[in-house]
Amino acid sequence: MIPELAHFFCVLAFTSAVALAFAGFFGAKQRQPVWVKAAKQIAIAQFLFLLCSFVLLDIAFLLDDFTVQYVADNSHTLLPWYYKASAMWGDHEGSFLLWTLVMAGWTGAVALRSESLSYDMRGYVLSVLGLINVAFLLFLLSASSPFVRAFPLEVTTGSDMNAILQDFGHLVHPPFLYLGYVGFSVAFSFAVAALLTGRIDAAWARWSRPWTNTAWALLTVGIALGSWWAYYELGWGGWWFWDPVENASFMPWLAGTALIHSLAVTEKRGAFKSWTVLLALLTFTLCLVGAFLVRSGVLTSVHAFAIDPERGMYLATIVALVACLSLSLYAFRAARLRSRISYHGISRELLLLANNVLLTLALAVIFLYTLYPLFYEWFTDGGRVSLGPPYFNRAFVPLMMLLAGCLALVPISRWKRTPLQLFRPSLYILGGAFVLGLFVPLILSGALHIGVTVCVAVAIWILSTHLADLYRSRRSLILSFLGMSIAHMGFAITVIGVTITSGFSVSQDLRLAVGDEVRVGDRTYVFEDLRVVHGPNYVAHQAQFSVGDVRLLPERRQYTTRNTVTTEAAIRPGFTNDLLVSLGEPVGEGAWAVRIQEKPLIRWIWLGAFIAAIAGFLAVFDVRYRRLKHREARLVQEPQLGSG
Amino acid sequence: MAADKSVFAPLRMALWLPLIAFIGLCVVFFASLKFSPRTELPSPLIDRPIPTFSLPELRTAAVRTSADLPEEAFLLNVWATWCFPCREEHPVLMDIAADGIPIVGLNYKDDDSKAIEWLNSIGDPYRLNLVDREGDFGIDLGVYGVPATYLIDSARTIRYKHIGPISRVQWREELAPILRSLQGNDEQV
Repeated sequence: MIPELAHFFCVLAFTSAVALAFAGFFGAKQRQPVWVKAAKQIAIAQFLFLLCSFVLLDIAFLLDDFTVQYVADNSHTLLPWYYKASAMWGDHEGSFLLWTLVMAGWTGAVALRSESLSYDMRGYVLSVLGLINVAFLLFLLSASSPFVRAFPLEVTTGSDMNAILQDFGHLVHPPFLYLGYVGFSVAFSFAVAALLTGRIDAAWARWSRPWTNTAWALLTVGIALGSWWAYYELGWGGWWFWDPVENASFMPWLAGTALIHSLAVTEKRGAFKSWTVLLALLTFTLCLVGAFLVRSGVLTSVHAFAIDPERGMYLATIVALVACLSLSLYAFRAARLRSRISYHGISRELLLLANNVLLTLALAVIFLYTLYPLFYEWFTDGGRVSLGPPYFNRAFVPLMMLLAGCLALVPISRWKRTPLQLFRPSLYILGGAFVLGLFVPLILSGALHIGVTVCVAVAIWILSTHLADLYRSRRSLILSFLGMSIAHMGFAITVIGVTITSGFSVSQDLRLAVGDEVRVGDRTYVFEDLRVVHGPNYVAHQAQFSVGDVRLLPERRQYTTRNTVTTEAAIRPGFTNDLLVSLGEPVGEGAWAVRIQEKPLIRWIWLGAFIAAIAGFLAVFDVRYRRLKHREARLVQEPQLGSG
Repeated sequence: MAADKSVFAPLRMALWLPLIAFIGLCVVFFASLKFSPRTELPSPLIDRPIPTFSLPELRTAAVRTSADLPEEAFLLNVWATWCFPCREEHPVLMDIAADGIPIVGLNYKDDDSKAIEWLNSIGDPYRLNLVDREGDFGIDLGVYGVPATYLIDSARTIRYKHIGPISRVQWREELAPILRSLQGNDEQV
């Protein structure tokens, strides 16, 4: 009964989405504010229906209802309850239900918090959000329903959750990622509404910015969590693999970052209008392209979902429809969005332009490299290639360093034009940072390393110019400015983390037996013991290593139901250095393959990302936004009501 | 107004570019869906002779050609130290090698010293290890992802291609029977 109820609520949500798309559009087009008001109620109802559907299906998981095919395929009686609950989004169908729930959540939030928008803008925005969820829910109900019963019924204990997903990371990473992904649909629908109404101005940008910031911050957290999870769960110390699925989440992030900055120019200077709109359309399209790439199986990846061509066809159709419709609208309407702006020499506008150009280039490179195997297959009639991390790094790192260089100048730059002498002190700082940067590789490895020096110097440069600027304006700090500065410093911290980890990690693959001692880096590792431990649904070999007074217990787990093996690395986390021991396979004569690694400053990578995300949230809560929002809203609303 | 229009005409054309670019992309997407799902990867090279090569051997750096390949049916395994699934596959390869089946390694887009260190520490299942630093031979072979394993018969003809790490089950139920039949053919001849 419970899964049928869940299914029923999902159908209700689908009908609400249809109603929402219609009511919003009709209300806006025919100037019927009542319909727009109704759209608000429908949006909230849609969210509640999907919430019921989601919770009910999750209850089926908690109750081990293996008469439901999806539950039987992805859960097991022996799982702890919290993994049963998260097994729900362990595969395509359930995770897509989560996706639509998040979509409805954003729609409901927009409905509740858009009182200050003019009713036609509000109607279009809600209508577009509703329409997107119509497509998603139609896909869910027709091609990937998680509610289907298993016939004929068999007595079973479930075929278990994917072993790698039985982890805290899976509890938090997908929800945050989806919150971010789907959140960009708000910026998307604002852009579509702007094209439909022909109004794009400071007020429009001011409405879009908090939503875009929130989505961006959530996506940042999602990606950072994913990277951290890959680091400790995949077990071999990597934190970014340039895997198609990672790229699928990283491309919208790059576009979203560009969008945040371009929106700032649109708000403050009334410029980049048509580009901002295009970016907003592009960012969400990339989220959809990502969903397509991950779920259709056109690219092979470590964490792709099960493959189903019909599913791929449907998703490709959604992507094609959403993008073609919105881009056609853009082609017809964007010519109206004209920017009048003048700036000279090095100004803040120029820096933001550079930011957008560099981020777009980085995006294009990753996009082409990720899809290269597809193109290759297409042009060579079935030939296959793959591009490894070296290709990505060679193109991506220089672009990011240029971006970092621009970023350091931001606090000094002014709008319109910046007198050149203002830059002089910052060049001295750069000189100092460069000298500091020279010493870093010398101290860490005793040799010069120019790449490390440049990256570290630029990061220090960013930190110092921003800190100096924060200190200078300490009496008149506003949240959005604070957010911007802190986010930039977060970026610098990530750059330092990436540089030092990539440059000075120590890694050794060894063949060790109990009792062996080995020296890696400056530390001695002792292989003290090896035992068999039993978990709820796995058996593991657990090794005991000691380093000084630290004890490390890496495991190699054999999950009994699916007969899969996972490597649980033992990590001693540290602010300055991680120690990591992973236990591989037995290599004969009582010896085991062991990898011992030291990863200096690896925590800084995620620390920087989390700092940037928090800064993104900070900016959202700027009071100044809200007050201005109300005033501008009225200004825009009244004179333009009749002109349409 | 007229002057204004002429200035903005090229710009207006540019506004169509995103749409055009995207339609091109859609064509690729839909076309790529037409290819069969990735689990059974067709290779245009199946039943063709192995492409000619001259590549350095990993440990000695001596140049090897197809004349140096094993005389009997063998496995050609594409691997790299940066490849995470290769680690999972490694013990299976060790077992296969222990059964006396020749495995030729193709170390793909990798670092020589790292590769040698890897083999020294966790064991070397390969009878011969070729180095394909730039991935050129990989392209000839149609390597799509690493690891990949080819079954090649005594006539140096590619008979089967397996993408991804070989699990014990896959070895037992998929690859080993094919290899046995290739060996069987040889005995009949």
